[in-house]
Amino acid sequence: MVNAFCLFAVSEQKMDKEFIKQIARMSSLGLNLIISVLIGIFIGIEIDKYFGFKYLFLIIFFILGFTAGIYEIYKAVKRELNAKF
Amino acid sequence: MLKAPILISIPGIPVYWTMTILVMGMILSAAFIVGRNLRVVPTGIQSFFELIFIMTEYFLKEIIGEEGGVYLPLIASFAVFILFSNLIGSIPGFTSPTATIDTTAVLALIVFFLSHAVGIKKHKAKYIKKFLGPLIIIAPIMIIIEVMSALSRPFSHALRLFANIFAEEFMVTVLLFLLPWAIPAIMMYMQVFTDLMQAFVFYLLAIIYIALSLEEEH
Repeated sequence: MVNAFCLFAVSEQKMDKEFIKQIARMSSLGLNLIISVLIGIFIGIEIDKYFGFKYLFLIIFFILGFTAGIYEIYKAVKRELNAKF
Repeated sequence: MLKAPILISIPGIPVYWTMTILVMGMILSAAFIVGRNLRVVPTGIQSFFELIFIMTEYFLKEIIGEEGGVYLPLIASFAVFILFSNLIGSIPGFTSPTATIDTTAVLALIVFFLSHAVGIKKHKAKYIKKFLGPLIIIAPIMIIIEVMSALSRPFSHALRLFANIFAEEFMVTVLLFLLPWAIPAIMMYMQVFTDLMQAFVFYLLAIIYIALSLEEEH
């Protein structure tokens, strides 16, 4: 495995460089989506507790969290396409 | 919960503290020994350290740019520390410090604060533009979304390393209790691969997060 890393590091081929960066970037997206939603739910529950609502802010922040996760994916894909062309 | 027996456990002190100190001692003594007798043609452990150095330098130059060299000491020590603490879990009687969320959370928080600090230092007041989105009309909503996605980064960063290392250690332990012969060894072989991969992913993501706050807004 160490030898493989060495090859990736030293190799000048475009394919390897891009590939290994894409693995790291793309592998973060799935977890990011879930965690954005969880953070949204957490913030929503706290605000609901503070203002005494039942679940108004929970729904709002759930949707915002989901949007944040999707937006992160959108940005990553845009960056990836920009890097290529 | 099932727990593999631990070789060194001082009562009153969490196990991952002793393991962290062990890993630190191992790395420091290795670095000391290598530093004492450097050779032009590297052998053994010196070539391993040099490999990490060259790799880090390469990725910093590739992802951040010429200014990335400043972060080499931090990122390279991340790589060495995480790799050693992942691999120490493969030795029977020891457990990985990174199998606890505390250790990984601290590492992720360092990256989180550092990335925003260098972003503010470089862009000054313009740094807030990154959080406002493309259109000024939807800026109030975008700022919430951007802050949430920024907050989700250290969580996912810490959670991935913790979950992977914890899961593989737990799996080996469970297999050890179920089938004590030969089968856990296959899993432990896999463990070495996951350890290397996770250390590498954590390290690369740290570089990417720093690069994201340094890059110019278009």
